[in-house]
Amino acid sequence: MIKDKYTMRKILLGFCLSTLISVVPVSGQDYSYRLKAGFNIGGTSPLPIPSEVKEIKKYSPTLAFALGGEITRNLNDRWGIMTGLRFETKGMTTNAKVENYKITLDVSEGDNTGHVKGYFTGDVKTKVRNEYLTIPVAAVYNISPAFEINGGLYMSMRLNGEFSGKAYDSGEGAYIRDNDPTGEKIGITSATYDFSRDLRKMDFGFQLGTHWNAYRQFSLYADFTMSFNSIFPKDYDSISFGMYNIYLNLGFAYNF
Amino acid sequence: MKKLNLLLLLCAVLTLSSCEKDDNTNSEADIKSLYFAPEDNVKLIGTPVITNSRITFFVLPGDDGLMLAPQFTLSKGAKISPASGTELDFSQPQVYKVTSEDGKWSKEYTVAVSMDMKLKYDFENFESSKGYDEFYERAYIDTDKGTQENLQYIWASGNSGIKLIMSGKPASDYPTSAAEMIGPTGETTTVARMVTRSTGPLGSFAGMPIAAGNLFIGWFNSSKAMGDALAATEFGFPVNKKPVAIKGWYRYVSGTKDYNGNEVYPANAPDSCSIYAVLYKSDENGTRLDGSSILTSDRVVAKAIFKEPAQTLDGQWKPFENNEGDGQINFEYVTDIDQEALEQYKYNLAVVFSSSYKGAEFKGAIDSELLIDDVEVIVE
Repeated sequence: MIKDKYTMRKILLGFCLSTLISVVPVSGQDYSYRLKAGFNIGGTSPLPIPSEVKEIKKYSPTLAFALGGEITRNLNDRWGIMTGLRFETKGMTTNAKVENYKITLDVSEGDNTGHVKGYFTGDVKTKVRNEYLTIPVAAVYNISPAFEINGGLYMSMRLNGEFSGKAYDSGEGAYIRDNDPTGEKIGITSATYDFSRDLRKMDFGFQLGTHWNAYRQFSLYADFTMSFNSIFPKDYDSISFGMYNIYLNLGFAYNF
Repeated sequence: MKKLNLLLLLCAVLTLSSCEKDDNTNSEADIKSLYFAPEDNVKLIGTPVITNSRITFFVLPGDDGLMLAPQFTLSKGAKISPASGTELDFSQPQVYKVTSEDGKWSKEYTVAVSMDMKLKYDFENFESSKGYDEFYERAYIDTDKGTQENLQYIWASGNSGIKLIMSGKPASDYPTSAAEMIGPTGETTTVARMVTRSTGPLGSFAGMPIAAGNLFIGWFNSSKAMGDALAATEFGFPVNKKPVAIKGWYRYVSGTKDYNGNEVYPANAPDSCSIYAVLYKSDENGTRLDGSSILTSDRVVAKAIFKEPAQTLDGQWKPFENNEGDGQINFEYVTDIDQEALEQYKYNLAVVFSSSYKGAEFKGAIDSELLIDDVEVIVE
């Protein structure tokens, strides 16, 4: 396990660069290209889900898509190295019942904004929607002419992002405890939070994928991606746990 | 499709592993209730008042004086020290420490018993451990074991409800505080000071743009402060004597501007303060009258209202009186009092002060200032 995130970043970047170089078209080599379009279904979630979250009442994947192209350098009949570029959104909305959930609630009136930092018990509705420009690098293995599996890493740069929500009383009572879980109880009917500005710029993770040649040049694909890092900085304290991107990208590809 | 299935299986495993929960992790350390074992033969009057760090309860004077062994129910999994049911001397408030189930958090509660609520108030005693001033009364109670001192935490204010937005500010900046100055007798003394304050963006957001200074007999339920502010002021503690009148001294100066800075309280239409006392029947559930019902409920038995407290622009202390020379405000009874019920402490007495009379509706002039000292409820 690599503890130092900077060391890990260097290794990832090195890996990405070397793969990119290795797939740069050189005459006499065998390359294949494809365009892909699909949907991202998944969640941006703590791992494991902490005990503060008592119940996930509702989850909806929202309309999150991925568009991109891939280039594969075929090393032999079975193996290849792939990279590419894709534009994608990863998002979801959830309603959850929480207890003693550390959070900073945002309250504003006109031009003024105030914050209440403490531990919230009640319901939270969270909306996550991040737009990324992603470079995957992966090893490709063709099981048969129709089936391909691949596995590797990805590096995403966040272009835009939203992580916002509402803390509210669903009828069973809701309150925030000032500063720590023993603090003064303040009843909450509804308040909002918005951590969009605090999202990290980069996201690193691994991906596992499969392609199935369905018809002529068309294939169906599924790519599972999961981030190594939280979407928030390591020492972030407006929520107390890491939030990881875990998504399944399903769609069609056109193979040139 | 085999591979796709494998992938879905992997997803499922990941999802399941993420649902593992260790549920012994409650981080709250609250005392939820206080009660006595039947064999203790202690008679609780009404329901104990439990705030975030203090408990006040009333008992009928019993055989053991103030040696009491209260028991507690706590937040799930929390522990208390000294243990629930330990006999302690409550002539002074006792401190209990509650530790949360996860062991990471603990909180101290000051638990105080009151017997025979004091009816004469000089506002000399206060403490500031929570960052704002809290008045209490020092009473002396006759028990079978002789006269015992008894600290009574009977005064409440809305300070705890706005602590969130006051963080870091001195106690004197809160709407309700203790102030040292020349008192009604002409000597330097501590008085109760209430000032209507602007609450800033956080208060405005919650629909509470101002916080009037207030001080009342009862308790402030801060968990209701942001949702249902009128319900947060729970008025009154039990008495067993029939009130006749209320005496006291005040100074009042109205502010001129509302929270937007508009001049809406000029000299010819100033803000006004509230000074009144109410006696009302307790009910079986121990429900108190609150800001929405204290003057209008059919449980009200008698009211003593200072009708039009004038401003004291000369800086002189003036007595509570509706007609010059009265020197007091009499309780007006709307129904007869049941003597037997009175002896059983079935009536609650509330004395209420506020620096803006419409403060409960979040209306009032910023900087309206009410000073109160040397108050007494005269009983039969």
